[in-house]
Amino acid sequence: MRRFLILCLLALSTCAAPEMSCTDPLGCVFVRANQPLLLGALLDVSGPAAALSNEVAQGMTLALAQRDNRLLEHPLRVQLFDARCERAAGEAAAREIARTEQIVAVLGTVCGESASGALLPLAEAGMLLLSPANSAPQLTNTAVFPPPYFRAIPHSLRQAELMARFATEMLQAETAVIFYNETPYSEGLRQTFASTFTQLGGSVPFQTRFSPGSSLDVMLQVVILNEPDVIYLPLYEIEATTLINTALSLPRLQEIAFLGTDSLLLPSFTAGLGAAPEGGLYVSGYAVSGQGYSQFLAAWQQAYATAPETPYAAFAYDATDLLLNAIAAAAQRDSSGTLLIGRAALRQALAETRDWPGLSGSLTCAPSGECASGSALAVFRLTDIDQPASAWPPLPYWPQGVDGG
Amino acid sequence: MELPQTAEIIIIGGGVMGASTLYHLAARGHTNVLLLEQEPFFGTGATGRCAGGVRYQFGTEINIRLSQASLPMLERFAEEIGQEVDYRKIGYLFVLTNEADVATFRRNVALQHRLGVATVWLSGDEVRDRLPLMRLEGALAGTFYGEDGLVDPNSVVMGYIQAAQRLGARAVTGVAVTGIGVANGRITHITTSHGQIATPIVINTAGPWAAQVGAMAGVSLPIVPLRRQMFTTTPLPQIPPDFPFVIDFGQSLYFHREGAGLLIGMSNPHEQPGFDQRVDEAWELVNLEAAVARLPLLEQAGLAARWAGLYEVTPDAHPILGPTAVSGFYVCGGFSGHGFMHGPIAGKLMSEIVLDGQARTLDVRSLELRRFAEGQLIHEYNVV
Repeated sequence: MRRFLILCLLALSTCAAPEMSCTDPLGCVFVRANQPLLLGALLDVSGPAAALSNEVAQGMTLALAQRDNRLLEHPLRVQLFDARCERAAGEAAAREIARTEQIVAVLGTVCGESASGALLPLAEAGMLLLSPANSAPQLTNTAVFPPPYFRAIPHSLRQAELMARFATEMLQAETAVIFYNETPYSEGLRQTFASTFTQLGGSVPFQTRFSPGSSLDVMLQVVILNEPDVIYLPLYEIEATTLINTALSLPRLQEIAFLGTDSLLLPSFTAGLGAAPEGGLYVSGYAVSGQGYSQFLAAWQQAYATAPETPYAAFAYDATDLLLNAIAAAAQRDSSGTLLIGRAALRQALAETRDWPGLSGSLTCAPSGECASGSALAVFRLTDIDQPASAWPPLPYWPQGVDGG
Repeated sequence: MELPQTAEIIIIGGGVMGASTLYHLAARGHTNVLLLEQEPFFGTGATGRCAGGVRYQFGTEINIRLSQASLPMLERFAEEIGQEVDYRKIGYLFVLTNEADVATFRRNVALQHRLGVATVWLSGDEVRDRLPLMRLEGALAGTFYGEDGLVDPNSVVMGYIQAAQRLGARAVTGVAVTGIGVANGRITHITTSHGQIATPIVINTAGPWAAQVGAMAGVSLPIVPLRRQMFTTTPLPQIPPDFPFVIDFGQSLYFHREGAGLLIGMSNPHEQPGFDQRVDEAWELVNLEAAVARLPLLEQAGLAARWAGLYEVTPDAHPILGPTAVSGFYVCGGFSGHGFMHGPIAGKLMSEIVLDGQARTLDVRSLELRRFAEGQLIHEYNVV
């Protein structure tokens, strides 16, 4: 008997046949009458993304509250797991989730590193992961990471596409140079900006890697020789501050426009600049607005007596809402109230999401798992570097009428 | 996250005790109240890991009266708070297998009857008749009360939190309290991971972490965390819909329906105090063997889920409710496994103690912290 039980333990539910048949190739979750519908929340509760994880959790909580914490007459319950913003911790947490077969699907992660560790164990268990915050482009590359993975936030490369369009359409730029660093984030943005800018008719005569040991004076002389209209900087704060301040000390670069990424959308970044670039300083980043977002802000204010600090709160709300909508679409319900949720069926339902009215725009899931709307991105103008912290973040500058619906 | 610099009252801990206290303070018009939860979600500590059982069957008058005040609040929850909580009156059935327990439970049932709880006394044969699937040859007697049952814990927590927020109170997650300021014997402020907040009143509803919070204020609380674990099975169609919450009291082994399967737990008498919430697999095997011995059809079941949580235990298995030697520092904790079911009334009583100087709905002076110093402990027998 003891041996049998141990075998059952190892095999989880395989020792008993459910009373309803499951034909889903990835398995099913049965949620019986009066039983809670369980969601996993794989967040990076400890580590560098702790604050962001908390804001994401608050966004999820609001999305659940909007449905009275219930779905299909079942109470909703969230079980939290900590991925600690680390690949190994993400994998360990995902293995723990996979052992809890009652979990219908998983919301998370915040950090791309932890997602990269979590994806394989979850895929092996047939569980989908829907992220409100992972912007690393490669996570939806099925040649690298197994599906089913979805996200409700635009991946970072879409910023580069947007900025290339901004440079050509708004600034009428024809020539760009790029300074990037060794990170995959920066490298990806560099490639995408360069290819998009070129496709739009521009040229990129000079691209160079910037590092603390770089001979900046020499590099900037090369920049001057190429007479660019804009300098694209997919860099982090300290690197970009150094580069811009040095460039502005050269008379022939004082009227050039500098273009950055969301890594520079920080009040401390503008505070660190010695002067405002006369040619303009613009960064791309996430932006959510519109009537739905205004209502969300009001609900957030009522719940937390403050405003969300980042757009990730809205992405978290959207991710949760998308998932609940997909569960409602995929679930079969019998007369007793029991739900049968096929894991492949749920994946399919989510993948079939079309024009879902999210806070961050109209959401449509691509076969790759990308569900985000491009309208949740904008270019911000940071020329007024002396603006008070209370005015942060700045309003989107381009495109006009950014509206998340 | 920006926190206020001052608050009339601060509640530490966002489980059922904190949520209920917050709501009842807000319902009295006190909305400059701030609840701080260190985790990203409310109710994911002890409350979120409990079995969800609610019962009237206790062995002391104060616990029975707490249930008589609290469980009707859960019955009215959807109407009053606006959140469905899935109260299922399946009844608790205690199975008694030794003479000492039989004698004690006879006294308990007499007490329950005196207080208006119509518990049914069952002979050994009646227990076996009610539970034909179970192997209970050694059962000498049992008790059953049909008003006992199950409620969804998360719904209760979120119902209170959201109702309080609608009233204007504030509850936030992801904020850890790191210190409590005391000057001249009075609370002055707290320090948190997000800054300092001035306040004259702090209510400690930190559950298993209550002693740690008490120590920040220089108050020693006899509350220790104790791991309890449980698991759920895959469907067992043979289990009837009216299968009660069964407690094999001699073994602290319990079963109740969870969906189409069962939730099963068993208290480890040798568990040492600590914050470890990992499942003890060795004890799980002991639990499984004991459970299968009582319910052989479990051999047909698989394991659906397993988890461990923490009881917050006091020396007399009764809660601590009320003021402390530090003016403005209150405690609502140490419920020793009964916290979820008594959460609604405990929050209301705390609001009365803080705002009115004493509880009015129920006399709970016997639950004050000072009873330990004065040697006035209360003894509860029906602890599972």
